Amino acid sequence: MRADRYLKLCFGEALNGLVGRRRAAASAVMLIALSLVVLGGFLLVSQNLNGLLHRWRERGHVQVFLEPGFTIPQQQAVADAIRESSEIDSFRFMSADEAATQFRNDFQELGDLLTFLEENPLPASFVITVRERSRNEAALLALAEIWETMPGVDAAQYDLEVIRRLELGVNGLRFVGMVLGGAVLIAAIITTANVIRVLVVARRQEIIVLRLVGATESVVRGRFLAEGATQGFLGSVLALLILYAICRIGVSFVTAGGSPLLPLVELQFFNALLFAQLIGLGVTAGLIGALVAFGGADSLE
Amino acid sequence: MIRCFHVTKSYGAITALTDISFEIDEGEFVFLTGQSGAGKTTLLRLLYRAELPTSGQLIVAGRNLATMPRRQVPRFRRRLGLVFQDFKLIEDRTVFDNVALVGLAVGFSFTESQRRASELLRLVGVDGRAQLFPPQVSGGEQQRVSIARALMTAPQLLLADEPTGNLDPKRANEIMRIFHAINRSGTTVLVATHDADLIGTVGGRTMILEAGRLVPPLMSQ
Ligand SMILES: Nc1ncnc2c1ncn2[C@@H]1O[C@H](COP(=O)(O)OP(=O)(O)O)[C@@H](O)[C@H]1O
Ligand SMILES: [Mg+2]
Repeated sequence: MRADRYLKLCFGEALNGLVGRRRAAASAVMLIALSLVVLGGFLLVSQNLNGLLHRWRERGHVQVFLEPGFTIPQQQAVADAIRESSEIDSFRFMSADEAATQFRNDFQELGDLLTFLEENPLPASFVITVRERSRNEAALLALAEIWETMPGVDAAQYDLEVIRRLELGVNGLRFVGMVLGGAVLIAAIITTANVIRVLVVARRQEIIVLRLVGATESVVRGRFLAEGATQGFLGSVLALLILYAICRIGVSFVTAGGSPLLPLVELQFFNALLFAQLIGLGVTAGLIGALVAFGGADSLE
Repeated sequence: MIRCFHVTKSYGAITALTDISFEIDEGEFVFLTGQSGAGKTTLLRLLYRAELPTSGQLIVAGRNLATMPRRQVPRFRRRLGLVFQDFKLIEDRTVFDNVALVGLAVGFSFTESQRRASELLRLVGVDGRAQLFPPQVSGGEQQRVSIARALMTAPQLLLADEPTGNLDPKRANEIMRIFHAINRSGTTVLVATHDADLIGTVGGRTMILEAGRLVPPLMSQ
């Protein structure tokens, strides 16, 4: 059979079926949307965090924190050691007071917090930007180790450490998203299968007749598969709309607060690959549901 | 058109057909008769390959049914037209759509399906009922619709299982006249019926089944 006639027949029947039993179909569509929102939401967040981590990593910062009671000669010795390193792009000294000021800037809402503390817990430090070629784990670790052993130095921290921990978090987040979304997706598939099974039962006579007059299985099943695919497609489009709305609300919320965290939530919503994946997943879920649903009608005649 | 060699069909311990052999030539009109439970329906189901014989060979419309792969069944069925006692119409589709759907389902274009459907409905005399639903028309009319549907694929062989079983004698005769006309146009027709009155109304040969065995032609004359 010609492909255009086949698709027209299948989707024509599927649309009739959807319109005819809107309510049942809507529940399947909604559940598919929900599962994709959960899945897509976690993916979006982890993806954005990953982008953020990537940008951080490129900065190649090492921060050398001094002990609270460091002496000027100690500070001088550390500064010299840093300056002599060939891996350094630039560095600057940040006093404890500067650290406190920066904290107040970063967290305006918490501004008074520091004054409530007896002494400033934020140590003085050297903020070092490493040369491009050394912005990798091994090089940063080697540098941090050299500086860490110097007298008067409390600890040397490089971004990668933070990033590593964040990465673990992001991966954990993605995992949770996959598990949660996967669970809801299975529920969505079952719902779709049930909705379509009801339809298969209602169209029992038609299935029998079509087989008797010589329709191929692809024609007999076509409308049910098309209906599953359509439900999945509608569900994924709905999910994308919901995700978009959530992103907009999230961004405007953060913007309204005037928070300096704003650049962190520079959410990249539009992502063709993720869109395609979610729609593909929705359509696949619908198709699986339809296939499951049709199982019982295999031997009808 | 049909060649049947020593066909036996058993369902577990029940043997519905025993050692059936016969031939039906192209263009014949044949009645298959016998009491209820004699095996008429079973034989027809074998002929349209709803089931396979337990043993024996069956060649219908040029296809050896025992060896034909499953996926070729649809194409084979398009060479047949099937008519049943209970009409098997789709109740929530109009008379017209019941017929036109077959065209769409076997790959005709929309326009062609529509044209064929309206021609056939006119042929069997229910074109005035095209937009009604099957439950809204009489039994005789429903059977005409199902005949129109069976003709959509221009079959070489028409198989009818008790086509008049639900109809009064007058309607039954009208249906038989339609079968007769179809037969004269070249289509081979096999009608299974337990109704002895029907036989002879339009001529044709008669095969008699008795408890799953075919009564030899000499004895049945
Ligand atoms: N699917 C089946 N399972 C078991 N027995 C069957 C089945 N189909 C038919 N039979 C038996 O085969 C015999 C012939 O039945 P059938 O072909 O329906 O007769 P007819 O159509 O002449 O009235 C009957 O005894 C019936 O009980
Ligand atoms: Mg019968």
